[in-house]
Amino acid sequence: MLGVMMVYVCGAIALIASVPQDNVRLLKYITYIISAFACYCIWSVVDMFEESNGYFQMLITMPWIKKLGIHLTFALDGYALWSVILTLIVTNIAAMLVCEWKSKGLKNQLLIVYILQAMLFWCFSTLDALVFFILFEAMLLPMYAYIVIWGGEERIEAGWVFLVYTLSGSIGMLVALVYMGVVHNSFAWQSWADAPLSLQVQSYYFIALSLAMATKLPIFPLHGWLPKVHTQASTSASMILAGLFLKVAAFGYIRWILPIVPDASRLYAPYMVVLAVGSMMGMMLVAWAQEDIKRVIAYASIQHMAWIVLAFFIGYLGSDNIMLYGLLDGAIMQIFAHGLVSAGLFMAFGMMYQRTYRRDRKAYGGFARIMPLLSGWFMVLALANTAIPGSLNFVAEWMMLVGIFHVEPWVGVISALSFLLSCTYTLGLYNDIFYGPVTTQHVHKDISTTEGSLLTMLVALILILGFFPRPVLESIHATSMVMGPYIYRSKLV
Amino acid sequence: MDNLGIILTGLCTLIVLRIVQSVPSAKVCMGIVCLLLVGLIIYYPPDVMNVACFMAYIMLIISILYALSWCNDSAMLCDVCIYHVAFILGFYMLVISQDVISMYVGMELASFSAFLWIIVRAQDIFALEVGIKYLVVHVIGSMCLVLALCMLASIAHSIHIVDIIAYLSAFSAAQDVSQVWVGMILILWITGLVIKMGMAPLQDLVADTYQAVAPIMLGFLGIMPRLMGWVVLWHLRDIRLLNPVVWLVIWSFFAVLSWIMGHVAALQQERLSRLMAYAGVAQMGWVALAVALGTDKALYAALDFLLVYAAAWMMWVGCMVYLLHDDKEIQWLDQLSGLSHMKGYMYWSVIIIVSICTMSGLPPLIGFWVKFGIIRAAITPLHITLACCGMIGSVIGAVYYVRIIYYAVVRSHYHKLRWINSPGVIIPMGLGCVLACVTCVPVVLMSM
Repeated sequence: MLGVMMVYVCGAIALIASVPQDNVRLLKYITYIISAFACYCIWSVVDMFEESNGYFQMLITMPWIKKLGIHLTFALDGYALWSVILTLIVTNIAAMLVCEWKSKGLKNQLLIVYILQAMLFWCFSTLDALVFFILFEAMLLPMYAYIVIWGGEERIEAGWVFLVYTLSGSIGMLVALVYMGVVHNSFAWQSWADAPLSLQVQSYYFIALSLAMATKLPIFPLHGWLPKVHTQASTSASMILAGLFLKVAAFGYIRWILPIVPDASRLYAPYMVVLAVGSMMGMMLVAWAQEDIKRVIAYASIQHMAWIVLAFFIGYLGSDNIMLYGLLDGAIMQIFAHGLVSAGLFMAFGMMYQRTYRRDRKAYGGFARIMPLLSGWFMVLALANTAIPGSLNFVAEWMMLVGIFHVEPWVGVISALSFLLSCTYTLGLYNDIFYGPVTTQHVHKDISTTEGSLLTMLVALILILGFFPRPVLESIHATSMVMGPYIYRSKLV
Repeated sequence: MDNLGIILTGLCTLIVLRIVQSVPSAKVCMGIVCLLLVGLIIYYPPDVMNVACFMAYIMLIISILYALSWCNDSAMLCDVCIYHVAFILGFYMLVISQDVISMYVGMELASFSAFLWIIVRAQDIFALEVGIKYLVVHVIGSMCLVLALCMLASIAHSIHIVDIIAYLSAFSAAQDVSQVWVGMILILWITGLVIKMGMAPLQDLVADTYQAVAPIMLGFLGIMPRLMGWVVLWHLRDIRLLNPVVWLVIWSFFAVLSWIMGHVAALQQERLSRLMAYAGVAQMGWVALAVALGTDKALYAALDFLLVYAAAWMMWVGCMVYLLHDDKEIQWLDQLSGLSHMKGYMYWSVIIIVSICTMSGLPPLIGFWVKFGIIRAAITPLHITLACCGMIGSVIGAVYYVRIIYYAVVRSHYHKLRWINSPGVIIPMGLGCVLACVTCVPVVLMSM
């Protein structure tokens, strides 16, 4: 099935590339066909995936540069499966949204979306460190183009900020990966995970990769680029950025750092916990003070990503493995759940922005009367963002919270506080936008059927999986049972 | 000596043509010279040094093909061809040299022809000044090299390269040679090579030179002196055994200096030729790093790097040769604005993107793989910091390289751009295809 999905991601690019630029209708139909095929792929891959088997499945491998030990190896485990599904969902919804709005340069936008889809898909499913690095870096260019070509007024500056931050973060990453490749004579995940390394080497590797991941994630104090970029990026670019781009970095931690260098992860865990808690609380306070709606969602994203980092690292301070595996499960669930919710929030706000071209809170008010359907979906998404029971986010954050309380109750208290307080700024934002007197005279109609359908898809997924999380949870937990011993094998005290 | 004979014949024919000054016959003759060189490449046995030779010939052919569509009059065409072939002649002498004297003569012939390019067709006083500066600095470089070679020959008691290598291989610090003498040899040798290869601190001279010469000269001038430097290094690569620590320290210094000076200066440039000149100096930092490592693997990696850089550079020069702004050469970054928005100009946008991304080393393009090769050679506890410095430099480099792409692809200001319709326009795309193929199978590179 993974092979079929490989053909799908390449075929999507080829199909869009073959359509003439001015044939908007055809582009739209082809996008819908691609999205339908993506649904089939998701259905089939979930169907074929053995939930109880936590190890890598559907392995595809072929040598690329044998002499250097570089192979094109792709496989799915519980972690990669849901990340790949998230990629297919978010990119296809973004593509359909672009078609619905008949945005300028439709074909090129769709091409960029599908190129990003392919890169993200490979990035999540690869088991070769160098291939991961190549994709991790290469996806910056299409994203940069997406921001700079179709962004807002200050898009150029935002593009530079994006490039400078993310490229600077990766400075040591290549050197660290090449070093490991030379030491192990291979770039394969398995050979890296099995080989013992000195603490010094582990530390260098941890710092180099962690810097790259923490910048892209992002966590405080490396978060400066994200709000700037989100405010200038187009809606679909923001969806991919918040829903997928940040998740690659979180995935990088769980795949390429924690199981590879467990001693260094254990050593630096207290610092990472402090950073994550600081990021969580700090970003919440900053989000409170924002006037720009996209900035509020961006800071909320940073806050929620900090949860993931906290869950990854606080486990090193505990000892009960079963509870720690629960933390891993929660973190991966959060990657999936937050990917859906943040993409949904950016999409819902994008639908309003498309009509008002305003981002400041003051420009909005009384939208519940003008756009009742959107206000309903926005409410569900906003509540899911605050992890209300019944949403997938609740399952994820609850699992993390239980684990955190188990390991370090004080950190649990702070996390719970941030969990509760995030409701205030989210609901405050909702209140400002949808209630009160109507402030605009230009908007008269609610969202279109297609826009509503796209939002419904996301919301339905969040709610259905929120009530019945078993399919997600089972496969993720099986993988945690396999990855856990790698991640928590440190003998350091 | 067959190959040398062919080149000498070609050179003589060109000199005759220069006297006759007939464009059609010049074109026919250039075609014959190119065919001879292609034949030479096909029958050449594969060897490290010959890879450098193949590359030089290919550069010559491409450069001359560019010249055929660019030069207006037969005199200019013949001049360009004569200088190119003279350079190749010197380069070839350098490659086949068995002793230090022929090595030196080859180097000088190549350097002198490069000087002639700059000075003979000088359009203004600036170009003349630059030409003289270039000559003076390169004479100093040659003096350093010849002094180092003399000193080396005196301690090895032979002028033959084989004997010198044998002496160097058996050399140990305990031998009765003054350390000051050894230090002097190394310092002179490295200084000479730094000058010849256009590394920092000569970045301003390189930038002035690129600004002064016509785009048609840029292709050869940007690569061949550097390739020549690599050949010289390869001939006497064991010279580092005189004092490996001094060798490492000095080359590392030049590597870091080239990165700093090149990148910082390039960031501030608006003039394309100067920007690319400084960027080229920064790129030479990677070669200096490979030379500092001194191993065969590292030098192979440096050659790979030069090969790929040369191809990307020739693509870029192709754009500069064929694209005109207001019927003049493109000089400023701003003049590229709106290129991709103009109907029928997507071709040139693609070429610029591929060449710039290759030079910046963006993964997964082949430019990334050649830097990867050097980093892989540098993975030792001693050199890993240098590799990190290179990576920092690459990030800075990405900023100004992306700036070029931004101007060419994103900005939509309309300028009076047009391109020269000539069969030669397929060359940059051909090079791009070659780079794309090698990107898919990077293992074809030697150091892989």
